[in-house]
Amino acid sequence: MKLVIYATLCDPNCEENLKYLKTILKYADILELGIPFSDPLADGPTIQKAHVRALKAGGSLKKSFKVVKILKEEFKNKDIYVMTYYNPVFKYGEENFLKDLKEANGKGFIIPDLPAEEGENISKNAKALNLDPVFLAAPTSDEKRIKLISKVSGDNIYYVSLTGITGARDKLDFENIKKHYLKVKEISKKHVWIGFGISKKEHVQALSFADAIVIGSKVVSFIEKNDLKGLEKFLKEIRSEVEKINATSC
Amino acid sequence: MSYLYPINGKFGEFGGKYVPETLMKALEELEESYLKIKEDKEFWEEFNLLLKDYVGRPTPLYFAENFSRYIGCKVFLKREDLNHTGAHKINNALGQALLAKKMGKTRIIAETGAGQHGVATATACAKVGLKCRVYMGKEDAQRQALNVFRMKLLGAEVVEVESGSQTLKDAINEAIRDWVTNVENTHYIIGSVVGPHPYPMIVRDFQAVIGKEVKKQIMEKIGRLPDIIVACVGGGSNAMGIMYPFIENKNVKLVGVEAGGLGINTNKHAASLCAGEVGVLHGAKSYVLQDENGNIMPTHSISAGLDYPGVGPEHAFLKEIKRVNYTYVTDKEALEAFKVLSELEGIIPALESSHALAWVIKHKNSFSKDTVIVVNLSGRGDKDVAYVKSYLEGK
Repeated sequence: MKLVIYATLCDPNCEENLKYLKTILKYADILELGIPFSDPLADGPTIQKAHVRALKAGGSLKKSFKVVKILKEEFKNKDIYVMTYYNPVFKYGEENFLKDLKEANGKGFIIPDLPAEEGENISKNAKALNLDPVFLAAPTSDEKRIKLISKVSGDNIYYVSLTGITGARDKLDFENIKKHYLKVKEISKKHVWIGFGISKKEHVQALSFADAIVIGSKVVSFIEKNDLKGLEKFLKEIRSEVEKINATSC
Repeated sequence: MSYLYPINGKFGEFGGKYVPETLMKALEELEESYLKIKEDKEFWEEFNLLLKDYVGRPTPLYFAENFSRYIGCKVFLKREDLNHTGAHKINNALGQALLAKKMGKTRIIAETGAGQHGVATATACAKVGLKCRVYMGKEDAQRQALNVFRMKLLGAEVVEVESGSQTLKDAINEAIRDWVTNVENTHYIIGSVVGPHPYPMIVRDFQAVIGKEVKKQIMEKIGRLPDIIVACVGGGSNAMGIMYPFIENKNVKLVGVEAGGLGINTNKHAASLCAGEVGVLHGAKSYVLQDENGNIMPTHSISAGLDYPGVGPEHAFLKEIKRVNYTYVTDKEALEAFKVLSELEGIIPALESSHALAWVIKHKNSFSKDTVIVVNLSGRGDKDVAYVKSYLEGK
């Protein structure tokens, strides 16, 4: 199992953000770096607030490439994916976006409001540059849609664990998640990440079957409190759960 | 003609479905259900009967004699203000509520800016028997406090949205978040020709009754089509509704009037087509007001119903093929028109519709006395009276 950790660029501000991202990269396999946007409609209150802070601090797609490049120099073996809504990419230009992401040594991207139908072009061009476009699958995706998603995705698919927006949940319906996860895996034959709602080590244990898990809002809530120590403690705990799972699987 | 039905959900390059994957299946189902009821005689019989006896359609096409004298040509007003609930919004709300019921949905959500669409949706839900929740920006809720109370009276739950700019755009974000969460039992009644496909098409079709009536009424009154049709454009549903049946009548000039606020060279306006650029907002590619990083800009208009940084994708297309002439008037010009029509005709227009009237006033010297203009009087201004009073006293 791989551990994917989300944080928003320039949260709580651009300077301090870097130390949070570096701490995350010590424990995560993959950093999902969120680009702040004025209208993050797939996000719950925790990440919405992070976007407000980060926009005020000057976070943008353009800035993210510099940060990705700096981080990749230090963390060569870790992968960084940019997570952005579509309009900033459209405004920047899809081709410029892919070119600059590649130059910054980014691994790929996630665009939550770009479904497979609208993403064919960017997917094709990304793959040509050896970038990994990660498309989302949801509990409402049927077989036909999963096939479509699989076609445009690179090596990975992000399975949204619930119908809803991002945000830490106390309880998750693991039985349902597993059923859908296995369906996505079987149809797509890709690595499947599970995200949305995951916020504690018990969740990680219950999701031991997953190729990767994504934790976002819980991490952002530490940044909101400017609690680096608390975040590091949390990440350590999660990492050790992931290690336990990896030790017992073949 | 090819542009009358969106191809793969797009009008030219505009439109599409830029939404989270969770909603894609629901949009597919919505389109399927809609195409089915479109051919369903029973549905239209039920809907048309309600439009007649419940909404009060057809609304009159009124020859505004005094206003015409003031302008110096013949001006007809399409009296959408006389609809039940006081605006054109009910045409779409009722159509979609019936559609939702047919789809087996039990819960309705909607967004509202001025409150007109919220009131219309709450009304339609009360009539049809569906649970209703309306999202409204906190700032709008304060501007339109009476409409908030009205919705509650009608049995709807009103949620004041405190995120972002606390206006219509943020209410839509919040409604989409609700829809993503409750998509199984919930239908989202979008109030304008915006949002992901198939919404712009559905809302347009339900509003097209306005233009169809105008066509019949003007033939009865003067035996020919009008020279000019004018409507205000926020998201653009009343404009689409009155213009759509005239798209192929190339001799009819179509004018869409956006909210110029304090002027489009300030950043206090909501003129997406006149001063924006192509972008993606709320599920569709269209014209938007955005900054250099692709963030959506705050907007301003004296009229809450036009205070929106995007516009329906079909309008973007009609701009591109130059079928509709899009322009703007300022807050001040709209306010002047609000007063002029009240004094000359005894009709208090909505601040939104006042934008269309203001365009006519602004160009009064360019019409000949035989020019026939139809203005879509999309709503009545009772809701705006208190706000205009405080606005004028504040000056």
